[in-house]
Amino acid sequence: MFDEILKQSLQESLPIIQESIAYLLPELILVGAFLGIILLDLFVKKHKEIVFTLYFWVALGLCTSFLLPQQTLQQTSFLGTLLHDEMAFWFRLFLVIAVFLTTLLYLRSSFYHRAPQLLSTFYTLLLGMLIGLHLMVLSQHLLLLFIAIEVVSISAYILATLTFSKASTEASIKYILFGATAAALMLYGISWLYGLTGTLYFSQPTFVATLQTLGSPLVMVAILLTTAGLLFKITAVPLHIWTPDVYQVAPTPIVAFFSVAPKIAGLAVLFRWATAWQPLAVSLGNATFTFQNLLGFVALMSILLGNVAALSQTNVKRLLAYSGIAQVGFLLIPVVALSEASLSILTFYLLIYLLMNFLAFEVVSMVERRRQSVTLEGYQGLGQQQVVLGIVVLVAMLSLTGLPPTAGFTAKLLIFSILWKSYTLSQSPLLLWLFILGILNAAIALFYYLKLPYWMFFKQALKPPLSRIPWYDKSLWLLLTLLLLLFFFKADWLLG
Amino acid sequence: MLPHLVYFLLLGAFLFCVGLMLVLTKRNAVIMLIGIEFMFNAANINLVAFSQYEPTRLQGQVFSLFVIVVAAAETVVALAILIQVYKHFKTINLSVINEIHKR
Repeated sequence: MFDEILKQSLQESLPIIQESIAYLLPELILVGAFLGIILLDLFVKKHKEIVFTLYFWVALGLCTSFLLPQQTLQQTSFLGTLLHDEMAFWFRLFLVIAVFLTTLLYLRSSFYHRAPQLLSTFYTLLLGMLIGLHLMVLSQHLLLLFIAIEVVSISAYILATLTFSKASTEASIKYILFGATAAALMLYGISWLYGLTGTLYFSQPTFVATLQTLGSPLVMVAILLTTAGLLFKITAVPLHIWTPDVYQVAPTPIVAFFSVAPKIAGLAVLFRWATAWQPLAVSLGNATFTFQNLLGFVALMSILLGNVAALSQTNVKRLLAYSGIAQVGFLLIPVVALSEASLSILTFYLLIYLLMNFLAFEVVSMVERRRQSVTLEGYQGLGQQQVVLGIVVLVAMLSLTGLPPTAGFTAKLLIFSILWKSYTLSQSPLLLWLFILGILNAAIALFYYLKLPYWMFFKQALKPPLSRIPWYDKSLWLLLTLLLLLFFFKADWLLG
Repeated sequence: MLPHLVYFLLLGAFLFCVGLMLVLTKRNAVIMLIGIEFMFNAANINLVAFSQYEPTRLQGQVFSLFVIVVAAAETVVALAILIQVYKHFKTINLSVINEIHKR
């Protein structure tokens, strides 16, 4: 009897799976490239830099070219485990852009020049991570999601310790122990969600309906545990503890990638959960637990803790780590204040965050290579010697703070407007607190973000002066800077 | 409810708590890895136990197979890093390994 049922369901599902493969082409290309680069590593002995970089860029280009036709696609595939929609399209495009910018950063970083033999390993792991991130964005099924997160995590653990220096092994062992614990918490949560609902498809209406009818505190615990794994990936409080250590000692291009890409994918998943689980409300005594409340609390704590801890930092990479924690709080706001406009605002903020964060890390990487320093002292007087550099840093920092005339301002404005709208609708005190403390913290952020331009412009310049910066570095910075300014004036190009 | 499900869930919860305790209280990295492994297997027990309600699809059992593979991969990476840590620090006690803050 059992065999018959199995045979029948296989016969039904095989054609669907075959049809679905066409939708997964961008990811399949990445998988192929991943295997190919390992083989290539065995044969290529000369001109490694050119061969591997070209190979990598061609793979990214092919992936993008198959991705672009999917813009208007609205389709589930592989028996409903994957969903291709507009959000999946944009977020995957951002991920590819982030990887491309990472390679540009990598090739000119001190990390590459100290250890050029790691080139192919770096590209391989980067591809592995990108595959996992893509699957995270697409997934509709808890098993697939768990595997995708683990693919990302395991690649990330190795990337963080690629040089095997003393400090990086210390950061990495803490990272992996913490990450594995978060994964285990998430898995235990998933096992309960599966048991309570009998399904692993988290977007199905029956999933949330079953949880709603149960309405026990167990549902809340299961959701809390399941969310923990994702909060770890997007470095939100209270699972942010690993961030400063790893950011401080890991190579700069990898840190730049870590600070953007997992957040894009993690927020995509949280957004999907929030939309699917919106009807859920578990009452506990006189309080009600909703998924939105949980995320709202996390956002509030992330903004507060990130900003306060960033104030006292003198190491720029550590400072950017805490800034990233605070930014995640802001990024969570469109998910907390869920409405029709949420998705476009989240997408806009993520793109701006990607641009400004990479701009900041480009400069950090350049100074690290020329001055062998990642502390504020290394930036002393750089703005007087290199005016272009000073302006670039100023724009990046203004944008991270959220001041005009940069796109960071537009992003923050949109976020606070959607939060206010949501508050007037729901009158929830949590949203009000989030609004007040969010604006207050945008002011606090000014103090530490502007430290960098302050040191660059108002401190005595160090001897010897910085040698000339090559044109390709400058043009990349200027491109990112101009984009940040452009999207302030023409934000509607993206929001449409 | 089918008989015995609750025993499996209790065993799972017990294992999970033991694992979490180990991770939170011990500072020896290998013991912490063992604790993490306990937590993974607690989830596996839950998944397999719940899977009896889906006798034709068995999503839970399939899930637990994947978890075993993923946990093994994660442990391999962790142990590789741990060997490097031992080379540098001559210890795997995490309360001693604390140099990043001092820099």
